[in-house]
Amino acid sequence: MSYLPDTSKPMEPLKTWSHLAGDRRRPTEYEVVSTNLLWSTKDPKAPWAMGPGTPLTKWFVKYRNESPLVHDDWDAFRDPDKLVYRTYTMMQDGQENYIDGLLDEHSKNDHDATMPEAWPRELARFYTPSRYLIHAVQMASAYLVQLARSSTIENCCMFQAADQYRWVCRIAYRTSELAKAHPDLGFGEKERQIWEDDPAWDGFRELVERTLVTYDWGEHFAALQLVAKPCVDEAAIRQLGRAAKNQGDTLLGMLSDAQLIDSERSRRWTKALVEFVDQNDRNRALLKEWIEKWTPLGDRAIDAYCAALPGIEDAADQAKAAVRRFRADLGFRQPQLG
Amino acid sequence: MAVNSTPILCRFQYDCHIRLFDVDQADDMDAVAAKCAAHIVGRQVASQPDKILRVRRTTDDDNAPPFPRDMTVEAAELTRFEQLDVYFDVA
Amino acid sequence: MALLERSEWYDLARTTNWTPKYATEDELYPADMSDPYGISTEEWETFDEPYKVTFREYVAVQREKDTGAYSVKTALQHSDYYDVADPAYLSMLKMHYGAIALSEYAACQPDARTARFSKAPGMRNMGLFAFLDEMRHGQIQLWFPHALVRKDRQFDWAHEAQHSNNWAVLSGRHLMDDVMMTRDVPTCAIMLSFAFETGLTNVQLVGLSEDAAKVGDHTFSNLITSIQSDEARHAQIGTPVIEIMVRNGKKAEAQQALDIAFWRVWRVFAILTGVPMDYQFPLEKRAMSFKEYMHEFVITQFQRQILDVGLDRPWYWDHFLDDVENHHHCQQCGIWSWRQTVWWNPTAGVGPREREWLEEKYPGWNASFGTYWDVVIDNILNGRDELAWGDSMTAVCNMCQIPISHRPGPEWRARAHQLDYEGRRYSFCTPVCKWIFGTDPVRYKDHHSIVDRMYSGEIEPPTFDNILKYMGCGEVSEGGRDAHDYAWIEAYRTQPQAAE
Repeated sequence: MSYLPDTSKPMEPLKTWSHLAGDRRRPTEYEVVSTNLLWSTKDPKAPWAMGPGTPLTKWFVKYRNESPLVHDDWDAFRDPDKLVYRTYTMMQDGQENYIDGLLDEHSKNDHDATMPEAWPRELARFYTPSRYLIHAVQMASAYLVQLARSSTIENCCMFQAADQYRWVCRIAYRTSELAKAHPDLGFGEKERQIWEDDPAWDGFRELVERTLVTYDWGEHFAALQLVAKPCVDEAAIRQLGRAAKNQGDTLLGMLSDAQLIDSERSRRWTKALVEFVDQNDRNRALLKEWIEKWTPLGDRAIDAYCAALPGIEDAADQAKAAVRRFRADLGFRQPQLG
Repeated sequence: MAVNSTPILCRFQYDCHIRLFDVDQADDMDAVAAKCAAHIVGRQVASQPDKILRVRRTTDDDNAPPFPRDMTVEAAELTRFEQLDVYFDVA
Repeated sequence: MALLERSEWYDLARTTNWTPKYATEDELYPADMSDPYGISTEEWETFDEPYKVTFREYVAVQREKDTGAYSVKTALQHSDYYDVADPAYLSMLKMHYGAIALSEYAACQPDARTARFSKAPGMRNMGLFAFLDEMRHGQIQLWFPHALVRKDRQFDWAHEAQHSNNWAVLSGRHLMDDVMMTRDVPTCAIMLSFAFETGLTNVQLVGLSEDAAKVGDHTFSNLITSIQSDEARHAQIGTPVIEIMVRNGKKAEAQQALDIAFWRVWRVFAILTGVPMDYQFPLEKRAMSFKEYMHEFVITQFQRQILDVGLDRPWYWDHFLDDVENHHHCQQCGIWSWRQTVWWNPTAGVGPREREWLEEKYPGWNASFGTYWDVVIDNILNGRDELAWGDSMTAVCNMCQIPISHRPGPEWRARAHQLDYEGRRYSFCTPVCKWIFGTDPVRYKDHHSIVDRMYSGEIEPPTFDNILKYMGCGEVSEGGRDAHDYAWIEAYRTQPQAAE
């Protein structure tokens, strides 16, 4: 009878999830737990069971599903690092142990009390206010999570957002330490004012604020991953770290190097995603267009910050060249500097 | 679904669930009751062979009069997903 | 000097609001995402998360948790357990993983909305930990069942369920899409963190964990306990949000959000939790009845939490108390009778001893639900297997998407509560689901239940065969059959009076 289950031909057992069964090799832990997890990506007009007049439904349709950056199978994307939650926490716990060691060691050596006289003042201007900047990158990364087009993309963005909070914590930590050693320099009090009013930060402020309110998923990805974040990383982390090393601030130099390990991972998946969408001329032209639109803002941010950075003349040029090298590595050549 | 059939919700006496059945415009109420009972009585509701089944509109106060047994779905003007009580009555 | 205490710098890490210059405040925090209630940024900045955790602490603690709960070795032990476990217990695992794994992962996106769009910096950081937690819960609850697909294809639903149109999944997805996927940040905090995670997840996780330990599946028990420890932390997002809303004259709005979400979550969780506790777990391994868990954790504890944050208990509380003794029993009837429509093998759980226990825990059970099972048992005892299956469709609620049911027997309580809206007739299981529709018809009116799909052409022709196929039964895996292949009926041959 038709309402009874058909037991005449038992279904074959599976070796893995049915959706991975076509692959020739045995799936890895990464594939088993990371792939094809979103249910909202099937129907482009109706991502959710809630009606088309619901504000959040409209948001997903307009900014994610109708984004001009397209792919016919977003779920096919794979993180080159194949990170899963378990390996991420394992890895970052190890990295954080290293940071704890650095902080403890430098604290025991009276690092903050023995810095060159003018340097703490520079840290108050160029380093501690960066918690606002890094937090803005954290927020922008979270936006990529919210509208991610596949779970494998979403995971990369989650790890990136978490990395940003990691450094917001460490900057806050250092701010408190520096306030104890140099109570008269406004550590822990003046960062917001410097972030909002100091011309050295104005370019970054414009860059991240405009990125944050760019809601189209594709353009947000391009603005954040191909311009804003690389610019932040190259100027406010790498060049700042270089300046710190020149001043004998080994602690900030080493912290910056450690932070850049996270940035390198971010670039690896960014590169993989760009290569992934590079399946048609339209996507490539779009990314190029967005890069051209956002690069002047990125350059201006680097220039404003690096021009004021003490002790290194070529900071801006180095930072901009590094950002361009990253994009050239993705196949996007830019107009030469200057 | 046939053009002349209408889905109705069946609230069958003593049953746990509200059921969904297609009834034809030409079905009279005995036929409607029989269609429902075929899937319920003896499966999830005990049969009561000495009784007949009557049909009425479901109302908040459970006091609608039963439809005449020979009244058709068409004559009763039943509409899509209309809810009906189907209940045992003395023959 | 040594390392600083967290309290010496933690506030700085959540002092990260600034005044935007190149975008307006409304562009940066659109009302539809951040706050439709118009509460000032200064008020939101008073958000103070009760549980404080730093990135450094988080990765250390979570790494340790994963070492305990989640490794190749434990997954394999889990898979060995499969060979000796009671089939009813395995059914619980299948149901659980299919319903839960991708739903937990889905919560990452609303948590990310909090991380991006909350006007409270501390809340943004908590949203971030919450999405990391939910990634963990999604991944770990895929990893374990994956080890079991080699033994039993029904475990494939751990991954496939949420991609299917199975009726049980449509119900869960409608709930998730409503309370978490399409709500602004503060409303979501009330609906997801407070009503869902604080209110009801607790019962599910604590109760299931205790019962799983008693059955001897320590891997699953530890897994669930470990997940609960994360939930307890990030569930705390809700309380400060409600306090801020109440303080700013938005009590009615907060109350409505709670009332909607608590009911919606309850309707689904009663099935996921009540059915296992009262029917699937072997009698001698049950710690408490579902009702007892509900009374301890929800009716007493959660009610106190509701009052503590300045809200009232939902307006339908009496209706809820009745539902605690009714809803999951009805769904057990339906799930078992229509077992071909689900991806696990339901257990009847109504042997003579079980019925005694049910009558003791739920006085009156035999006089109502017992009448339903009496007919079923009589059919099986007399070899009429074909009558022991549901063979037609039930009506389903246009809100919770669950078959419309109520106590069977003399009380005859089942009833669809209907509403005609813009020319379409909607049916609801209860006055509460109907009330929810009325709070925002634009949000709900366009959805098609599985019944609506039978008449919209989406399931064409709407034969029972086609409906099964549409739901993935016989496609992803075989649908369900009785977990014990009627072995439980033997007790009635020796104690026939119990069936009466």
